[in-house]
Amino acid sequence: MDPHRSRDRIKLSELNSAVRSVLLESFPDEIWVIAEISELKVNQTGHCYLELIEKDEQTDRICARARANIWSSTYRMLDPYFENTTGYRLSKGIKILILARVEFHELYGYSLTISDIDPTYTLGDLAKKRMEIIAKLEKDGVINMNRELPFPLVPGKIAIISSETAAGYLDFIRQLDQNSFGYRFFCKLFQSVMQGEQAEESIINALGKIFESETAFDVVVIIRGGGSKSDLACFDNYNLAFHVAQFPVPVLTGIGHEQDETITDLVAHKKLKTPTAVAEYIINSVYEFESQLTLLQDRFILQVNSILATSNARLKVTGQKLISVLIHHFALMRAGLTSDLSSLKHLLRNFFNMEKAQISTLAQVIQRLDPVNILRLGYSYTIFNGQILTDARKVVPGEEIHTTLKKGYLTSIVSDSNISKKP
Amino acid sequence: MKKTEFSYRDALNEIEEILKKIEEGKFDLDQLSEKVKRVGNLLEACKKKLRSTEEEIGKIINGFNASDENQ
Repeated sequence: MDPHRSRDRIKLSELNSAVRSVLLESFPDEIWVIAEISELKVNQTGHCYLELIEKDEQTDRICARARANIWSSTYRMLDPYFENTTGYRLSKGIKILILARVEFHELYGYSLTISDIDPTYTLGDLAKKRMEIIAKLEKDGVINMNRELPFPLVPGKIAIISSETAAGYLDFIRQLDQNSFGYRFFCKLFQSVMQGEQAEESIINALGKIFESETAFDVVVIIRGGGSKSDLACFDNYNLAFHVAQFPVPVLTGIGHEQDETITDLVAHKKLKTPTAVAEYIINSVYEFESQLTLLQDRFILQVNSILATSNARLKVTGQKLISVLIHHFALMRAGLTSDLSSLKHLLRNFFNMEKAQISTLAQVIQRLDPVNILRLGYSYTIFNGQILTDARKVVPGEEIHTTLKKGYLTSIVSDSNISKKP
Repeated sequence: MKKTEFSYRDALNEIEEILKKIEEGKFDLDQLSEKVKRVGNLLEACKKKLRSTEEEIGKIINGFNASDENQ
């Protein structure tokens, strides 16, 4: 062929047109193609433009590339269908099995027009990748490291890896602050990107800061509000899981999803569904500790009371013994006293008897001394001026004297008083 | 990361140990009153600390150590 002859030359459009007809001839029907999405854009009219690649399994280098599109009418149906089935949105890094027509446009070149996607392939691929990562973590011997750490009795100091503006973060703080037991927690936020490509590095960075911190944190929590499953793809990352697994403090995750757990969840000390659930778990741990204290306190009080009761009982028995000894002693003493008393009585009786005898003697004497007895013998006595008259000289004639006899009284007028002669 | 000064674990262990000895009848009445005080202090310190901020915890630990020395 001679390049200088016009017969042997064609225009690019002619070439492209020829390529197009060959391609159409070679691929008359749609074909199923396996590829990975490396870029995806949706324009204003709703058409979806992708870049598809294939990576070499050994070297992980890109070995094939093609442009593709999904027209808006198809994309409107495929996009939600894919997400509902796989939990992921069509996005970068996802492997897909597509039904495509090979297209060639003279101006835009080679591309694939996608009319269908089989999401089961993607599911299988993700599961396979996930199992590979898990297998690697197991092989590295780190997969159980965080899970095997003892959980603190009281997780009072909490390092939070989250985004300050995340709803989940605020839920977590609120839940902790408003716990009904009045427990107080010390929380420190380590800011991090929580989704997308940067999340891996950002979270690993935050773990590093926590490790170097002056504060001895009891627990690390990785939390974020809910998001689609594809937002969580960053948590299915080997490198992140590797760091979380080996962190020397228990890590709790609450990255807000209901379905399958991510690999980060898997290696964490404990996976919880939401940030609120993480807070509840922490509060509950403290409550359990306090309950344990209360149990010990009850046992303690019971023991001490029983010891006191025993001691009291012993004291009582001793006291009763003492009392019975004393009673006995007093009985003896009383017996002694009683005999003393009876001798005293005896003495007194003797004394009184003697006294009585004397008294009766005296009484007799006194009786004998009664003037009546003298009067009986014929004697009498005379009263003058209220006094017994013993001297005749005290009375002058004419005065009145009173004489008492054994029987009766005499009133006499003195006619003579003489001391020297008897009448 | 540093170790905390007040350890719930230590407190819990000490309470359990004292309780065990009490249950085994290893204390007489005089020792018992000392231990009752000690356990009371430990329980109170734990329960207070659960409801305290960092600054308050410092005070509790200080008060707690002071009450130890008094024994």
